[in-house]
Amino acid sequence: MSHAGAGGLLLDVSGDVYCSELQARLWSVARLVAATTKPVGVEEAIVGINNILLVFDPVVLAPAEARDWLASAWQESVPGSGSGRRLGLGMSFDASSGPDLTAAASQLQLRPVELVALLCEQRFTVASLGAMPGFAYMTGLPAALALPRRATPRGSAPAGSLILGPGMVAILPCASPTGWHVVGGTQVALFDPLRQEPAFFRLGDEVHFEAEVGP
Amino acid sequence: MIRIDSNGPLNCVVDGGRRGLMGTGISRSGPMDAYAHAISNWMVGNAGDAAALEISIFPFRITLENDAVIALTGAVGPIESSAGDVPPWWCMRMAAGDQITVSPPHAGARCYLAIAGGIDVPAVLGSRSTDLKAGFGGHEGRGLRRGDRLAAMPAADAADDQPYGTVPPQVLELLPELRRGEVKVRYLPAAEHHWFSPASLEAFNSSLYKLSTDSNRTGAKLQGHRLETSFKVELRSHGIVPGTVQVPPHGQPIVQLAEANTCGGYPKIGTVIEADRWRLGQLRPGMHLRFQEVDLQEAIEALQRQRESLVAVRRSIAIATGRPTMHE
Repeated sequence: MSHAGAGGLLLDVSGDVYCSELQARLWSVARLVAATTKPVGVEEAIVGINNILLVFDPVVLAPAEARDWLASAWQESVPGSGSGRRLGLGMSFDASSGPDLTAAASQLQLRPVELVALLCEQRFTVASLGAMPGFAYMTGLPAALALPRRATPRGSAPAGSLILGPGMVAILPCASPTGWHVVGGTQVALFDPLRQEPAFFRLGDEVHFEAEVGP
Repeated sequence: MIRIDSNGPLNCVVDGGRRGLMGTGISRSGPMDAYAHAISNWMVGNAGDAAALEISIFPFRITLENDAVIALTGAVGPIESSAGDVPPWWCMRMAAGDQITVSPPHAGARCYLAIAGGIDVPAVLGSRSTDLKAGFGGHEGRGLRRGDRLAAMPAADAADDQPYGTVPPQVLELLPELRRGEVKVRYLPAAEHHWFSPASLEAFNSSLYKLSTDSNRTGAKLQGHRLETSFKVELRSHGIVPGTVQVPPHGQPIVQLAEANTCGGYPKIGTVIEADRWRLGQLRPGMHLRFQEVDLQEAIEALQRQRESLVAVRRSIAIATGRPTMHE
């Protein structure tokens, strides 16, 4: 555990490889942070990839107590059941939606249609939400499809872009620069601050893609 | 009503910020200088976290369309009104038709303008702050433009609206640093502090880092001695807070600010302590930061002292205005 300022504690439980069971335990810890039974002074938590950041008021709750509480919450945690939701997202894989599809496929020694087929048969899991409003880190990308970041990041990719990163996929909720490979795009609005639930995804969602427009 | 008479894409409506939503990627987006923001509100009789204007593009001009009590705090520089020069950290009653011009400050980067009642914009996700990065909240999710009109919410009657000013001691301490162009902030070591080479740690603690012009409300990009880790490890994405000092592969640190990203993947050398984050909000591009490592005890004591001093400021405002009880 390490400090992120006096009022932040980062609990990193990661090992050499990503572990989905540890991740599901972190979702449980995050639920405790959102529950009314949390200690006074605990404010919020951010679930990362095999880690969690606890934010608290260090004047109200002494950091040593916050540390003890987080440690015991982790010790007692069991893998959370996820959100129980299964979501299918329509995706376009044409050249304008996925400008990096052909290059990414060729780096993987695949044809674009083969990469699309492999992406569409996968079941991804929303492991973490962050970086920008409604941005979901989705795990479940087979090791065979892992690509390093692009040598030169794109200055901007449009909202809805399906991006392929190191061991993960994600969809940009708003136009944003990205160093990941833009391989497709969806029309679904992933973030709307005026919606009852602004973020489209929840931690633990199971997600798959349906090719609406092929490469 | 306040009519905005100047364009400034970074001038925006901010309140105390969005809380409890970082877990879905939503930044806090509160004021860059939370100290000056809260005090401007208290001076006009608002709660400290009411919506006010954050001004960082100058000259900034407004016309008041109604009588109103306003306060201006933060960066120190020339401010003119129809009624004459306005001293820094000042609260006064303005008449309908009065104009105010805030010229580029000679010390500091941001002014806060509070109006009695608070700026009336819709609360989005529990806050009236503008999220400039994601484009929501505040006034239409964007910076202020000439011609924008902002209403104030109904204000409690001012018991005594004689003009008055108050400058907290912390601000008096910061002013000489701002005039020298060299601001000190204290930091706590963060998760990857020990990854950095002894030479890099030495440089981080002893040399100056210049604020680059492409900084914004999300992050302060710094230029100075290149910081290198002793080994290369790909970090997994993890939660970060405002104040986090990240070091991307190019070795030049970035300090996360009011609209901090909620997740990052770069090694973190430190976190600017809570009590000093307001200082970052007064740094102008071209000015320098000096980092001083402290321990947890000092970080907490500094925060306690800062809160005690805010209580003292509120007390002095209550005495100056004859308002017996304050919000909060």
